[in-house]
Amino acid sequence: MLTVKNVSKHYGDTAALSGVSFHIKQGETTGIFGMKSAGKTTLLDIISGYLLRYTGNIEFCGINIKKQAAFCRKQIAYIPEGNKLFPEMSVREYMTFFCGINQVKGMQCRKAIDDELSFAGIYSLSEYPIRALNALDCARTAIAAALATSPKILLIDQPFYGLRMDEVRVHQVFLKAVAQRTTLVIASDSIAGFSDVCKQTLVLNKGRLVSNDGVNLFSMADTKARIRLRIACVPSQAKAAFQFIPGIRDIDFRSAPEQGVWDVLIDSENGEDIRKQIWFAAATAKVPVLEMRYLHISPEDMFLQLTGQNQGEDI
Amino acid sequence: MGIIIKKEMRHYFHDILLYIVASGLMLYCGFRFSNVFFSSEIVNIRTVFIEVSYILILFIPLLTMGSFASEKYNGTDRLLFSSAVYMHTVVWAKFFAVFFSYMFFCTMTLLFPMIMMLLSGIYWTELLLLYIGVLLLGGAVCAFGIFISSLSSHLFRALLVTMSGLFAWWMIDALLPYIGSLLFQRLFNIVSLFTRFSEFQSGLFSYSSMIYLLSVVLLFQLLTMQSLRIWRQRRS
Repeated sequence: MLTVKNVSKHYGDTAALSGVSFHIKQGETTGIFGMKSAGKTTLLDIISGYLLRYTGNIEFCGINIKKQAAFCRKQIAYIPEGNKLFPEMSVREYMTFFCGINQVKGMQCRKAIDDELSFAGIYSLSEYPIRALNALDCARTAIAAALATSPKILLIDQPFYGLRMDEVRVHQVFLKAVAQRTTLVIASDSIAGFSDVCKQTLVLNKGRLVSNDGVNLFSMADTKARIRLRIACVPSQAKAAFQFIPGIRDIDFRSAPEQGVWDVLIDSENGEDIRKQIWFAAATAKVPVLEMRYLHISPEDMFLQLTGQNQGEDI
Repeated sequence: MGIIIKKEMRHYFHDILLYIVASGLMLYCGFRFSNVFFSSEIVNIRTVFIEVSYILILFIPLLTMGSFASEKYNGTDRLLFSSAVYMHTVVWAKFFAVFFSYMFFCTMTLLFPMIMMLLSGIYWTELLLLYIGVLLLGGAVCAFGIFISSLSSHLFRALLVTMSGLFAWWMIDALLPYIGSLLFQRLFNIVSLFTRFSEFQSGLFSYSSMIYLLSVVLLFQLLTMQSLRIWRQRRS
């Protein structure tokens, strides 16, 4: 549905995005995660059509969004960080305005607003001024207004912005319901609370995509994907022993606290269990294995590793 | 476009500040009108309306200051510019919203010529030309104010700069007779808005002034679009 090809955006000499490419399938919920200034908002700004100057190519349903900007903007709804509503308006007025600027008018608009107010559970608040609403109701108003325009993709920047912990839990359930209805793209600087919502995760770090396209950080975590081996030999000997084991994605050596001892971090492809193969390979090559264990990585750890925040990782 | 005009005008007419300023304006008009009407033997209503027209012009920065500055400040510009409306539609909608609100306040001052008409008589053509001038000059000032608002994300800064700009324009007009250099005199004459307005004040309909003031509107609208385009590209 949405294909982002090699998109880059520079602000002067600073690269906000560098060669970002990914694909989003219809109906799939995608989470774009990254620390502050990772380029999440810039990416959403570009997809939504707010930012027009960038290099690379974005195709929405096979249409270049630069060439048919107005058509694509009608199909892609965008909720910026903090929802950005008009506080002086009532909920219904805001929804009517949002529908109006997205060319949904008349009876169709009124019906859509009533339906979405009921869906979001804020029908009773429809005549309330937005300034009187709490953060959760504001978030729901923004989503209800966006859904009233029947978008093919809904982009939400920081959906849990300003919410209390108890409100986050409630909003999570609502986002899951929204994800059933449209293709949802969420950007956040924390992955907490999105495990049930996102089917695909993209991690950005300093404008670069550091996770693979199509990977889900939440399903990858806590698998048998990473093994730590403590060996008492030189790294080249171990490398020669393990290099022909099928299913190994990456081998990394780090010095251990003891002298002449190394820690080997072995990543297997698709979380495959390769402990036996490692044991036999080590025995054949006479590599003394002092210890072998899985590294249980939580999604948060994996996220921090990908974004380079976990410098002294616990291994 | 209609929905944005409606939203903007609703915003203006829900603001207490507007009503306070409008009341002040009507009070001043009433005071000046009664002063001229009851204390002079020969009543020249034009002098009152020229004063009023300048006050009306000063009223515009209050309307324009929030046009884009508040959208930028609140971040709602992302909502507008990522929607299905084109940027030029938003810019023109903002202009018309300010202009229609300004027209509304101009219409309020029609109360006094109506009282005069009931009591004696009035030269309607002269008054009509004055109002055409007020509207055209107001349109140009609206476009200028919206442009300044598009450059800033602070309401007060936008208000201050628009007011200063208007004052500078006024000064150009006032200094024009005292400038010795012919080149500067010509240059100042080109940029002087109020010289064009004075033709309408003196009861003359000038096509060239009308086209000039409309061109100023168009120029500032284009500059507003350009400044917003740059803002969108630089925003991070």
